[in-house]
Amino acid sequence: MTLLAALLILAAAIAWWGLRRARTATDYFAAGRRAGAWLVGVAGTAAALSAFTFIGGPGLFVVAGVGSLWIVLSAPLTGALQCWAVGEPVVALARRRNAVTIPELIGMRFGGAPAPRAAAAAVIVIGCVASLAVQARAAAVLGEDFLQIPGVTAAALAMLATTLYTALGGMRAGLLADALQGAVMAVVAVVLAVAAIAAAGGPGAVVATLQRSRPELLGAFGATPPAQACAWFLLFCVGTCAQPHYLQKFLFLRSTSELRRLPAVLTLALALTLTVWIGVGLGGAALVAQGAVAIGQPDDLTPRTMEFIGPWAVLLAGVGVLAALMSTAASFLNLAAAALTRDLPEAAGRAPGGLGSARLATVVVAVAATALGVFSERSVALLGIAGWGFFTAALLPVMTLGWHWPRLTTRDDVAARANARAATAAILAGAGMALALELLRPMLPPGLEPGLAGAAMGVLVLVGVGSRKTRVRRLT
Amino acid sequence: MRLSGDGGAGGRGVGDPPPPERVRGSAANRWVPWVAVAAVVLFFAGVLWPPLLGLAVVITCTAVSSLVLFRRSKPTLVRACVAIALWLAVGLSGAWWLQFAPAGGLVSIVLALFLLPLPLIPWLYARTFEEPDADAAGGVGSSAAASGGPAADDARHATRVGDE
Repeated sequence: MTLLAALLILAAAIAWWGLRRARTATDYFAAGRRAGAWLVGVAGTAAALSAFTFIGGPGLFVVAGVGSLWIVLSAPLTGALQCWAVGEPVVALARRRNAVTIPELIGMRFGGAPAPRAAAAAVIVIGCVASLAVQARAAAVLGEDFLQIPGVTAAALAMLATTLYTALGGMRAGLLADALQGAVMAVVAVVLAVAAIAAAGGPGAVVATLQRSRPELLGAFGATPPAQACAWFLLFCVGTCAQPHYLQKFLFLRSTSELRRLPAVLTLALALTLTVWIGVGLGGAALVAQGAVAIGQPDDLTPRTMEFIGPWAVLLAGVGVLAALMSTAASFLNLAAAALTRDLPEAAGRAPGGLGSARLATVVVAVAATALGVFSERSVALLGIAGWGFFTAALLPVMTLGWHWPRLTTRDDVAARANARAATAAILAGAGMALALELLRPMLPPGLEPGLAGAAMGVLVLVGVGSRKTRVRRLT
Repeated sequence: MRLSGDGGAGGRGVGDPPPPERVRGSAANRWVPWVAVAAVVLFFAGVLWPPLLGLAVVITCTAVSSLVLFRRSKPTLVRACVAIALWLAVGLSGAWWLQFAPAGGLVSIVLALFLLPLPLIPWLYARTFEEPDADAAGGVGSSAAASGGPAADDARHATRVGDE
């Protein structure tokens, strides 16, 4: 409780700081566009890595073995990939046209047509509310497993603190808080990873133990089918180009030249924080194999391993998980508020809401998502499907192929309208296919990731429409 | 090897005549759908035969990285994309080769796919980075071309290649 009380005081201080500085939409939604590579890189990583990195990831190692690491193996590439494929054009276009949201940029790309912007905004609202509900649920689990307080209290306090600074200070406050949380996460992750490996007897002993007791967890793919491992690598590699909470951070950069250092910062922050996945996964699995730690379900691995290491590790893990879920929640709150008060009204031909309505939307989304996450486990299970893969399916084709393919750029008004319709169809078809396949996930063969299948569908829609346009012109 | 006709700063060698806009845009318009569809087909086929999914990973990740060539194309950038393709091909082949070697498989993926490229790829990015031209910065069809702003007609004209 002392930890949460201190957190609320810190959140109030950041909120007060942000409230005095967030005076325009650019301040509120794009952090005033005055951040450097370090701030954006660390904050971006904090926003992208949720509590899953500390709990679900290591837990997955006990089930899938080394195969689970394929989710994080693309980390060396993702920073550069994002900047090459989407970061550079997003920064340039946002600065030229003073865009403050990703759906706004998508609308501009397709000649200012409202439909692609509205579709992207709707996808972002759905995905953000779903992800926020999952974060609220994670906060409840954090309270019960790490902080020994009622789950509802933990979820309410964590979401209250996040909502306080996000609603009042927008991303001026959110970026600062995210960067602080990102730094905390990186340090905590490295300490916990080293502690877990050391508790299991060191790297050599960990491998020897697993080789003797659970050899199926080792090898290049562990207990995961190779097709599934490759699909995870692909999803979490190219999927970074479609995550709105990552893309949003490009809008905060103060100049294009900051991009030069950004991949290095992103990669460093990501690599440090992901050590907890590898270290606690390997060390915890070895401790389980040695009989030192007993777990009822995979997600118990981190809490039980921390208990074995000592009370300081439990507290540190609690801080890390709290930082991870708050930084992710802050970005989703701001993205949802922007979509609800700017993108959807403007796409409908109405004036965008002011900062007051953005603050109100932030609070409403936070309350709704917290209630969903805490009081309805069934909802959380259903909403959990609208996460990384959902955003990848909906936005990847438009942000990559749709953004760069020359054929989708034209001065012909008829063709421009067709391109805008194609972009809208790609977004909706990708999102719909991902959701449908997620519901059928138990029946899917390994490797058929719903997010990738949805993105593939979106790509086919864009290619089909782009090619069809040429045939029509040749006929005429 | 500029792929698009967006008119930005390019990687043309000194003294090389500029290729006609239509040729450059047409080349991109021809290649992009084939690469995109190939990646999609390989992904679905890879579900049935996993080695093809490995190939889909190499092609898709390289293709997405190579999107930068639409905006600025320099030999160093092309070499960076080739290096990424080679790294992925070697890393995935090694993983496939050592999939049943308990310690060898783990060490190979952690070293080859994670630790070794960790400092190298951001360095490659920094080395190939350049401040974009104002007009080319937003990429094909973005900025003025896509926004309907005052310069829209000129920019749209510059990126129209291949539409006709």
